[in-house]
Amino acid sequence: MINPVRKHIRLSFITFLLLFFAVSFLIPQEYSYAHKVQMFAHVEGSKVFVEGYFADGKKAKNSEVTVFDNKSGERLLGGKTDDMGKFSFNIPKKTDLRISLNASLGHKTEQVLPGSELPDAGGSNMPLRGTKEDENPPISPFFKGGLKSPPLEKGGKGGFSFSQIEQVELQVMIEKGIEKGISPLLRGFSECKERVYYSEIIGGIGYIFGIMGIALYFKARKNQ
Amino acid sequence: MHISEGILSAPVLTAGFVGTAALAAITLRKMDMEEIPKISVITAAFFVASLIHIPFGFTSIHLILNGLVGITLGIRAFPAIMLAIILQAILFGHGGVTVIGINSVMLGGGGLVAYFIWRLRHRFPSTPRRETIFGGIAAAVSVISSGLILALALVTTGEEFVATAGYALLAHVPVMVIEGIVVGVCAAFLAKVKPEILAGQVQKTPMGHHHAT
Repeated sequence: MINPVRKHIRLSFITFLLLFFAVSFLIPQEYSYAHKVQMFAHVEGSKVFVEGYFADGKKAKNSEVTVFDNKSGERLLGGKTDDMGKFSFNIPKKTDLRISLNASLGHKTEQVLPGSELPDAGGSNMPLRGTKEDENPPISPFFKGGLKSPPLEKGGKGGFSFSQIEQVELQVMIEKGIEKGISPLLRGFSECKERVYYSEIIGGIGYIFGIMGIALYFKARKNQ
Repeated sequence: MHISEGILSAPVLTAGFVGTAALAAITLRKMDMEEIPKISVITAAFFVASLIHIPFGFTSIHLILNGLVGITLGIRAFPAIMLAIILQAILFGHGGVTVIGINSVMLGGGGLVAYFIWRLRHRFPSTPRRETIFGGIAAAVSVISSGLILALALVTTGEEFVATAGYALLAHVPVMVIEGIVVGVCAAFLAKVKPEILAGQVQKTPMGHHHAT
């Protein structure tokens, strides 16, 4: 007969060994996050730029991008990302665009660009920057009100006063500057959110042993 | 090898949850108290294994190890894998909450297949290589069974996924080979050092003495 206490000690020892092995295995793998795919889509002028990357920072090359009209569900256009994981398209129409990026075998992500953030085809509104997070405030809300401008791509600058043109150009410049400044931050932010932290891994192991404790407790009570 | 949210159709997802509930109900029956610590340890190992990514060529792979869970826990592999999948979905967003059902059937089902193959080893004479070979075959078949369940889920979702299903199966082939080798080595090692960890390796006599079979 094996002494139950000895058996218990032996089991805890095995547990400890396995945990130690698991954790020490993790340490050299500094970048062991999930390979969940991420997308960063933003509006610039009359185009939408999409960038796909995995949570470990690798670019999602050759991934299928499909754009849908979010209201009707109709497929508007599609394509593949290039070697830099980038894809861009002209805004097909002013509506809520649902952009779906399918990296490979079930690694898929979606993002909706609200129609209100797209430049109006009629030319009553300047493009406001769309960002990944809906809750992010538009970057230049103070430009939105009052400013009437033609869509830039149509090139029709004639017929507007000089100051209007200046204003439009100034706004584009500011937007570009802001975008340059914050896009690494935004990317870093969403990468951060996707990272698998050691504390969470250890936490998961903790949950498993916690559940074991509860199961043993109830089994033990039943056996009494 | 998790499938993500937003790909499979609602009926397939529902079938996944129904299958998971049924399999969990069957595999959780008559569990002994002594089994629980071992199940927890293996669950933890499985939980961690799929978070470790090993650079492999142009991509990175991670071991699935549902075969190893199968040959150590027997039918209890299913609840173990299910628990790990639930935690991975909640903590890390692997897959997602709606696909917990189908992922459990996919990986847990593979684990059960591994166990059924592992059990067949008793029909063969005990040689030093027997555990390695059966562990390896069990793990390889377990991976490919999971791949088949994944492919089936994709095909039943829609015609447009037939090609994807093919790629998914193809992607499982290198994983199958690697897992077969890793689990084969593990099985041989455990059979030598700690045979009671392997399912059915050591049979208890009524007196509580152990003797190897």
